[in-house]
Amino acid sequence: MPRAEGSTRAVPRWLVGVFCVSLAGWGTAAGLERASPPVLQSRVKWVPLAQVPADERPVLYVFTADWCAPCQDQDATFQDEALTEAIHRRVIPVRLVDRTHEDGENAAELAALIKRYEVTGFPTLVIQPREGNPLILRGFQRTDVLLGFVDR
Amino acid sequence: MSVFVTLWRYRVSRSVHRLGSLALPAFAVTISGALRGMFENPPDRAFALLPYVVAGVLASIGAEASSGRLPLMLTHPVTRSTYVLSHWAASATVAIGWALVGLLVEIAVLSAHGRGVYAPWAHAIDRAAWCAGLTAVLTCFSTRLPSWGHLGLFLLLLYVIGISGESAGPVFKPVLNLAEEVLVPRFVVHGTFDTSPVTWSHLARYVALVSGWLLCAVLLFRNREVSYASR
Repeated sequence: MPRAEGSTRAVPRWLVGVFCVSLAGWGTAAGLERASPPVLQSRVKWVPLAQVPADERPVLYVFTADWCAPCQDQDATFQDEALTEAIHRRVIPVRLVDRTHEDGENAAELAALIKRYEVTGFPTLVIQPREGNPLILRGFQRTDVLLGFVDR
Repeated sequence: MSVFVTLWRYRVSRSVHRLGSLALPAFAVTISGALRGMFENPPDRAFALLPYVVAGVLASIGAEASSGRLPLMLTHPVTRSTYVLSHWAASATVAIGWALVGLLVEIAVLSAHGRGVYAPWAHAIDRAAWCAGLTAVLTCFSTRLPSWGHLGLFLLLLYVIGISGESAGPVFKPVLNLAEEVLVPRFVVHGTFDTSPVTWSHLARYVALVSGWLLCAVLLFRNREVSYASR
């Protein structure tokens, strides 16, 4: 119900404007990002799961989730120069984002890996050699721990 | 501005609120610092921020109406929307202040354990945004509910969403996730600006949700009849 100008019960127009503009921006940006998802900027050159090359190096799987706060701290550790160099030299890095919370389920390949390594929390880091048992670290890991993990 | 200052001072200086606005956050700061020291992965930060927000919104609009402060305040030449937005700003600044104190304690504890915090300014913005978002939701609830009813409704909705999420199938999970996003407006600097291109939808979503809750609060409060203050 519209009120007279100057009424003590008037709704501020700027608030209505901010809400409408941001709502429209949310819808537009979400649509564009769904068509072309933004990529996390990182020193590590992450390899898509479907493009893992068949060479001698083991694969480093980093299971993460967008909603997970410790995962953000974990991403920050991958900005370390020494760690980045060691990762590129010793393993094939693959970053896997769990989408269960957002989409209700994951892609079949990711779901299979989550089941295989019994990933119940994030972040979880797995080094899978070409032959043999995987090495698994669960939860946030410091840079020095990761360096030792990758250099094994 | 004077309304904001009055409401802010009321939150930090009145003896009736000292237990909640000082003791509760101080306890929460101690616990979060201890958890940081004991575990690499402390509980969800949004939930950990709740005590600070509770401290900020102890003096709810409903409680002020019950105590007789609200009719008194609305006898001054102040619009309903100014009162609601000042209430939110006063509550949010108290909550943000405590959240930043908590962050400083956590950084100190982590440093003592030899673990640094990457981009502490980003964590500070995250926490400030979460506090402002949660306060907007609780301010909206408090425009109609008496006393601590706003906290009760918020926790009930959070519980229902959490319980439903455990048994929901792939179809309803995104719906419940959206409901949780609406109930707990969040903004994460790292996930928004560390991507190429920038994930603008996160920022737009946060602004839309907070402004939406505040707009809802203003609309609900403008139709509330208050003794001595109705036009």
